[in-house]
Amino acid sequence: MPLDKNDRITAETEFRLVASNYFSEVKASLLRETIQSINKVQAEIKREVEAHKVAREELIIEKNRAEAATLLKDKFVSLVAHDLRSPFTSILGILKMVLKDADDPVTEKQREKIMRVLENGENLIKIIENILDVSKLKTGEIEPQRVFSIVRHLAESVIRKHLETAERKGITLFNDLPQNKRIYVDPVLFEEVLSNLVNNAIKFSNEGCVIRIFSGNEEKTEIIVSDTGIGIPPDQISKIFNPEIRMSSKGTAGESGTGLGLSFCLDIIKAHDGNIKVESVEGAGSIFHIELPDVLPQAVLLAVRGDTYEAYKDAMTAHGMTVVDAEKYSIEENYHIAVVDADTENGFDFIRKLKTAQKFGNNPIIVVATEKNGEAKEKARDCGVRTFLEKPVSVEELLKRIQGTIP
Amino acid sequence: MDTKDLTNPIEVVKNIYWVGVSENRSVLHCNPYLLVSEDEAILFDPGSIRHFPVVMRKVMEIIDPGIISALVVHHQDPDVCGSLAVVEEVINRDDLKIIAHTNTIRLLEHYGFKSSYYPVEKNGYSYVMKSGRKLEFIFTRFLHSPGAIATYDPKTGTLFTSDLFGAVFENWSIFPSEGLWDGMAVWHRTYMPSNSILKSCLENLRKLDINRILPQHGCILEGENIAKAFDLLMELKCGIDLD
Repeated sequence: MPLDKNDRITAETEFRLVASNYFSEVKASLLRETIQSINKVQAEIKREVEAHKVAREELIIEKNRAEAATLLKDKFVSLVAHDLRSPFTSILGILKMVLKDADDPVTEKQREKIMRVLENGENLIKIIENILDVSKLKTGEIEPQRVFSIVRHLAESVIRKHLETAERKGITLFNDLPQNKRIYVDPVLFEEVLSNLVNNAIKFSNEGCVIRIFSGNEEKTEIIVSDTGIGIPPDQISKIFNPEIRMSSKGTAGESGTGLGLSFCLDIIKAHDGNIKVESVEGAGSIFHIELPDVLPQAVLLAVRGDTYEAYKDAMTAHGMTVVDAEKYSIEENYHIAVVDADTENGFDFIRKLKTAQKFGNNPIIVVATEKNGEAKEKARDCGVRTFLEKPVSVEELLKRIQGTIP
Repeated sequence: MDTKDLTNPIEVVKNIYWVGVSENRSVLHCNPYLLVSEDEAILFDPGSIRHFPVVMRKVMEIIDPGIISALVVHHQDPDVCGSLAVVEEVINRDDLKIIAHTNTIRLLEHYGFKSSYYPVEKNGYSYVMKSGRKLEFIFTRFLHSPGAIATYDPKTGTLFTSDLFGAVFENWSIFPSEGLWDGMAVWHRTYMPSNSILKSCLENLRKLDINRILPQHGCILEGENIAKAFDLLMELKCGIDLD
């Protein structure tokens, strides 16, 4: 039916609306679909995240279970080893008494047999002791008590211990470490490592061989033990640190060992966040590299600004320490020593802050102060400070005190 | 009805209407047509979304859009079927069919229409209306689309040719006017692939008993204009002939 002009306009407007509504509808439905797919993807991600979380938790549980089992095993081993050592020691003691008993002497044949039992028995005790050491380190019974030490001194003591054995085999030991090289280690444990390495070097060297302890390149902390001995066969070099594979072989003079020494050494150095690497040429010798993290002694200094402050700071810096002003002290950072002028306004507050900071812990604090009737010293002692220096304190005196803990 | 007033639907022959839009902004005018048979109608090449309100208003002036049972889509271009989704909405029939060649349907599917398709080549190239009126389809392959078809209405001798016989020219009118023949040549040179393809198709179409040609662009051709158009296009070099 033909329409008049107005009706035509109305009709066309309505159809325009239909089109516009339709496309709005299309847009809305596209939007709906988009939202639905986003929701779907989100739900999937959520599910996956959940699944991962569950898997992760299960892994953690498994890991904890495995770690607990290992710890239990280590403790058990430690207990067994401990319980074995005492009766073994008495057995060997009694055998020694039998040998020495003048009233009831053994025959030459019996003596020979007893000597063999003793020899084997002592070796067994060494094995037990090694196991004990390893398990103590693993169960956390031993934790490295790190201090700054002059490595040359540690090596000197190790060399002294092995000098006789080495001389007997005609082997020369050299301590080529620099005079003042400072390392941050547990001195007892580190000596144990050096001792093991030197002992091995002697064991696998012949007359005329040379064993050296020296420092690696200057940029990193590396102590090297080298020998000109028989070396390690290439097929065995990867196994020498593995406690599961006992590698003990007879030394050049028929010495035997527990085969646990190197694995124990690696455990100790790993506990120091370091590593041991070995290179060897069969017939030419071996080189063991002990790599340790570089730790610079860090000191925190609180003093009245002025000449004294600058003099202390310069002297400490010259001693190879990083010196940080107390204002910039953070409890998150590792500091090894603190020098505090208790005459400053917040001196004692700062000492208390250091004492409660977990990272600073029991590190030494040197307090300098003007003394009045012994009050300051008393106060320092109350804060748990052992080193108290009455003013005036010369730079030399302060350094002497610092060298007591950081050589 | 004033046949010169293009704001009206124009009854080309009994029950076949031009429902297109005359607008000044375009030289390419589009011609949708409506064929009514008793209480059923078929809309040919409904057109672009821009033309939809006017086309639909014109359809509404003739019939209730709800009686449209099928939409013939001669090919898939936007000037032919850009408004189809909205036309479907207005017709609002579950059994509405979109009649096209499968080569066209493949592309139409990407518009996301709701209606079902009626592939001509799988239905004997014909569609029979409720009244018994039969429409025939002719495959006009590559003119200018791989699924292009034309529709022949034997009852009135009307041939709906889509892009074939189209023309573009200034001062267009749905009835032949000055510039038509040049416009027809320009159009075919530009949009048709080659004379050989065009010619073989035209030879086929010429066999039909044609009273009028209703192209989707250009003008309604009747009488001597039919032979004139055939003569022009049969010899026209176009598309790759001109390279």
